[in-house]
Amino acid sequence: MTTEDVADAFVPAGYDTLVAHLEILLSSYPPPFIFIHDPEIPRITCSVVHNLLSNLLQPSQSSARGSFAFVDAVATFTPRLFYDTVLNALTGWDPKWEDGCENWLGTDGQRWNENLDAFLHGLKAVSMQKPVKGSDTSGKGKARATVAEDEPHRMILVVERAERLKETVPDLLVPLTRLAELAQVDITTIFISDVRWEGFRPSLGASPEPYYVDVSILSKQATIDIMESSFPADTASSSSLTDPDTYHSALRPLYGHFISTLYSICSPFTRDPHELMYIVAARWPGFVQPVLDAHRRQIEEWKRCSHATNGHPSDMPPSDASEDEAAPGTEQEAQEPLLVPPTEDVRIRLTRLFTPSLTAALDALYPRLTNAEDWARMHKSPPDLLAVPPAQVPSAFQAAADSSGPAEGGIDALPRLAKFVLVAAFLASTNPPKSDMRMFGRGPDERAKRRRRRVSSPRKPKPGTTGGAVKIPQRLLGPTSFPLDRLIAILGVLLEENDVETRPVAPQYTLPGEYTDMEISRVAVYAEIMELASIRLLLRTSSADKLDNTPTFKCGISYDVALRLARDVGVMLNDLMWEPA
Amino acid sequence: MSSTCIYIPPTESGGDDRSGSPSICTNHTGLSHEDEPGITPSYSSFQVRDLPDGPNLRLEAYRVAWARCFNHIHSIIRTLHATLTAEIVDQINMSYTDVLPGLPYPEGSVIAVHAQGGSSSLYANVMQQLDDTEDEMPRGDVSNNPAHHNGALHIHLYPANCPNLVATMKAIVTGFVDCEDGPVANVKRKPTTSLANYDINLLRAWYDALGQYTLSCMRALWPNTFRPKSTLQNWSCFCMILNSLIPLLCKTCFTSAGIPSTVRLALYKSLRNVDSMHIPRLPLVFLLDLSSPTTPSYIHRTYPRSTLALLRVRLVSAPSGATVVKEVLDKVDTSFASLIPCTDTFFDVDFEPDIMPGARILDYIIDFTTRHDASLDALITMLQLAYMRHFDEPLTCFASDELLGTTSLSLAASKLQSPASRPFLDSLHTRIVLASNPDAIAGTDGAPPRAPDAAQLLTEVSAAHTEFRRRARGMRIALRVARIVQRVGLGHQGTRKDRDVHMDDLEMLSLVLRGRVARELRKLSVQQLHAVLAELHAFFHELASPVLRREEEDARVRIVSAMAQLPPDDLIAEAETPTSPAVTQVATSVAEWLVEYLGERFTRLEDCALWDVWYTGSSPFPAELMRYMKLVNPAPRVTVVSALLRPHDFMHAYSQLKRRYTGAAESTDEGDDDTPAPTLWMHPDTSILFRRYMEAGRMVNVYDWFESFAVVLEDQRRRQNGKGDKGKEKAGQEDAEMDVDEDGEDVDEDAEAETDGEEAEHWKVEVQARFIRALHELDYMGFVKHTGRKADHVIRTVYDVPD
Repeated sequence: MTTEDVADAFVPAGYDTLVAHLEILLSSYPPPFIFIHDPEIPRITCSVVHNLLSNLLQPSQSSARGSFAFVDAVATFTPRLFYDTVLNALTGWDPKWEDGCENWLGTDGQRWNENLDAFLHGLKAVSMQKPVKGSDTSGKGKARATVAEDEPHRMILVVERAERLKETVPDLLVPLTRLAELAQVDITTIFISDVRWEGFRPSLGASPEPYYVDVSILSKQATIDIMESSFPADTASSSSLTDPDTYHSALRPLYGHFISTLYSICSPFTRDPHELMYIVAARWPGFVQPVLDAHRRQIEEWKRCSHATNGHPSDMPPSDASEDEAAPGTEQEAQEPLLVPPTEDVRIRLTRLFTPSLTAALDALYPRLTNAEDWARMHKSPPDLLAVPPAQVPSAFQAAADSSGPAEGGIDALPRLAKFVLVAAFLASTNPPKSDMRMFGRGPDERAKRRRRRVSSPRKPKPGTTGGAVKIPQRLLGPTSFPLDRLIAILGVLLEENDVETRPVAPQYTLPGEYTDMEISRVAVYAEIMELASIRLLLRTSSADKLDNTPTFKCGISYDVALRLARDVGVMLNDLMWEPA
Repeated sequence: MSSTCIYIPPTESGGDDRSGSPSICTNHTGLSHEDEPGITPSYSSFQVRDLPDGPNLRLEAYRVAWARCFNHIHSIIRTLHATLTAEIVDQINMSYTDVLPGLPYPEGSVIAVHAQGGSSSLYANVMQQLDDTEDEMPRGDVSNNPAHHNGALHIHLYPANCPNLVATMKAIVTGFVDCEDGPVANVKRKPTTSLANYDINLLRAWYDALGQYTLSCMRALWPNTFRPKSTLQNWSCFCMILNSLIPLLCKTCFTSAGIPSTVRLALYKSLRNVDSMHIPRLPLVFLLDLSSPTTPSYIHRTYPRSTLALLRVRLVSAPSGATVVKEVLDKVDTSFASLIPCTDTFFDVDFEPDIMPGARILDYIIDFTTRHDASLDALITMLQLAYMRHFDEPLTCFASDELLGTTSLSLAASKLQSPASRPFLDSLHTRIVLASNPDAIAGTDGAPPRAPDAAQLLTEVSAAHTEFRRRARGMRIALRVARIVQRVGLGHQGTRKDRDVHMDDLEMLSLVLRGRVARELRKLSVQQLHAVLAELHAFFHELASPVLRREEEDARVRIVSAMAQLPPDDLIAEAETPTSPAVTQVATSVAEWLVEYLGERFTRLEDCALWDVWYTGSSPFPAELMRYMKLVNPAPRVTVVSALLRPHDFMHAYSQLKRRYTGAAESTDEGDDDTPAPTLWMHPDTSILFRRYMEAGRMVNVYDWFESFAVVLEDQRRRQNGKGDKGKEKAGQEDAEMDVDEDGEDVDEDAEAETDGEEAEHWKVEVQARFIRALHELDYMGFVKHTGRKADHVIRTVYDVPD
């Protein structure tokens, strides 16, 4: 059995060169430190490497003898976890609950996870370990070679998402790159990352240069091949949401077409096969549902006919329109009609019907605004779509979408005062503080000042001149922070102008504005601000422990949300913005 | 003069009154100030006509009434959350069994629930239901799919447990592994050579062991449906309530942990990554309690796409606070008081509250909840406050029964007859006589009051209670009927938003009032009429209490007969003659009956005898005791500043308040209205110092401040001593102002000067002490901020105070 045979069986399309390359390296004389850079889809690269290693080093292979450890730099967030995971994986040790979850201890029961030195000794112990026949510690990567017992076996340590090492275990980064040198064993370290080695290389040249392997970007055909090969073969794993026949093998050709359509639509935005498959998983059940409906109707027809003709299904009149579409030319005379690939016409019709929803799916699912399952539930295709006349199809889609609208909840349910506070916070975050007097100043003297200032300081440069750098509105630059007092003051103006009528009458306040002054100094206002800060609609920028300083905040809502809230409470937001949208 | 100027009670009227209900009031709510000696005894005025053990009796009655109301609120909330709870539990159980096929890789299940106001009860329900499913397992039906009987082991994770990644993982792992009564026996682990207790592999090993354990268990239970591979995976779902895992969301501030938020963010990102890698082998479900609303989703805003891609995030939103409040108000209480159609009331006809809040209280509550805080806590607190306030009135000891804490009516009567309860008996008698005959009071006024018959009075109380309840019931039903007519007949479909419904109610009530309902009803088509009558019939038919059914027998008969008279629906529908004479006749008669029916029942509850025992009427919500003192939603800063600026006004307001409660007899004990405005020297020390503070700039030089303070004190001393001892005063003044003008005059003899000097020394020390004390009080109240750099300067914290 050659190594090519082993590799081919597990290599997805587009990874042949990587696999061949690595295979030759690892089975002959590997460099001590290899760096695999895959900027696009490190997840698939990892699984490819994993498959390769487990095939390459499996016991039946005589070409190489050794074991490997596959660790994720995110999961091993302390050195001790790292040592434990690596040593257990290299020895194929599986901690058992009944044994008190003991780690691999080697022959002399030593502790290997104490520090780097102990770990290096542990590695040595692993490499020197003589596999005992009938040992109870059998694992997938366990070395069991019987030939050349004295030859230390090869170890391969793969670190996935290696860029995280710098955050989780920064002290280990340099030793890991020089592991073979330090431990004096035959070990190769492979880092897989979507960040280039320059991005987190230790300074001062502490690490040797790795052997670089770059993963090429997947071609269109490779992506489609990967996706097509992932057509779930087992229909038993269906959910309550989908039809049991959704992944029927007869639909495989349709699946292929569907994927290429989807790829052509989504590839400008993402070419990650996993992302595309995520969208496929959400859309395919709805896409294929009309075909299944038609098939089911056909079966019903067949049953009815067979009953009507008293058990002679052969007399069934082949007049059903859907039959022609869904299953032309099947041998429905003898037995129940089988699910067959739909015709070209049906396929084109389905594609035309569902193409708009593919972009919608991309919009919602790529940023994970919702999950695939919920999306699929919300976008079920209308029942019996193929039987619906083409003119009524859009309305049928509309009805299906309307029936399951998302529940209303969230920011609209906030109390009235909270909405005012948020609008005020938005204004305080977008308007420059200097403009407050002009935007919110009410009263004779402020107005005079406003007029004067406007004359004296023209805001815009004269047309024709560049006027320096282009001014980007603050709304687009993100919120600025503001002190609490400013927020309260703006809130006071907003309340005075928009909320006076809705308040319960309070005859004790006689002066104009006195009522509002009282309202904005109430406990509820401060409580509301703190509440909003705790639910992160306001972002507190000053530290919470310093009681002395005046607290500062930033607005945590977007312009759209602010606009909606403002409309809710009757504030003309654009009039109050220094640079209106 | 003491410097705590607000709370000095002018006259103390007995400190032992505090055992009564008013002080309970402060204890329970936590809204009142702790030391309010002045306010508490002010209620004692009622003691004049109270029973000897009145407070205790009323407290008991209050407890009974409030417990009923409170339990009812809880049951309403539970019903409100029932569907949501079921949904969540379902999702938890099905998280890893019911997965969309074809996903590229398994996702971690995250259910993020936003329950504004009352999330804790929702979680309690979820937990309970999860536990129930666990308990049901052994008794499960054999035919059922075992996957539906997932036991869910759950742990709670609080932000305080999660200061960093290691601690968080440790909390998760040990939370499951080390639980005392867990399904797997705990095995002793060596701390050094075993897996670390924050290692997810430990959890995995434990879970594997658990799977084997439960596997054998299952085999015994479901021999037929045992499917090893599939059930092993799904047998147990870990439901982790990451009670506000996202620390920034939780209300129980995470700030105590003191980590900068960026670290926290990174931490949780990696936490998510760690867990989702193990999902295929560890079915973990995260249930997050979000306090931020779902529409600008915090989770989506916080986590990068790469993290979100690992999760299956479900956002669930509980009924919002406003809905909850409305629902609770509708069902629990409530009458709508009088004919003022100002409350949002719909009431549960099957629940009779002991106390009915009146219109003004409901108004206040509704305003507060829509404006400030729609949480359940706020609502309950306010209702409780209203209840407690209600039980101030001595007569309310009759709220639940008329036995006065005794076991029988005769005992109660003899208790009433005792001389100690004579004033109470008199007041009760007056009230009852007054209710039955409003003119009687004139007759009894002059004549010496004869002792009323206690037993008879008690029977009358009982009768009044029955009558009141009958009326309240009638009103509730009438409102319900009106709603049905409105909803079905007049075309208002009840699918609008809450606020609109509220408005609709008002419109409807005004329609009823103006008799326009009749006109509208007459115009109804047959179909509509059918619908209205059918709904009404169903409503009357489904009344739970037999008493109500008996009372509403007439109405039912009426409706049934009207339905019989009406031509059948389908016949007319074809003929397309909605205004046939027969239909119009029936419609008219129904409309007339309805108007009469409603008019009969919408009566003022205040017309009942002793109504104020069971009904709060138009008394306001006890939010504000005086102008500056609010119990609910106070404005402390403004209050403190204005109290410091005008201490005498506060004293005056206080005395007025007191007068209101204690009657006019004590009205002369404090300053009258026409007292001239007090000048500065009359103020307490802190107040004087604060005045001087207001006049300063941004920085205040403490020595200058002291000087100016001393001048006022000097003035005060001179005036208080009167014109008696001029020389001393002069010397003192001179002393105090020594730094100001250097050239002092030697006018007095030596001996006197010596004593004066001693006295002046004393005075100086006193001034200094008073200054320091006042300064510290201001400091304590937060008006002074110390600069680190200038030792003798402080910074003002309050500017532009309205004078």
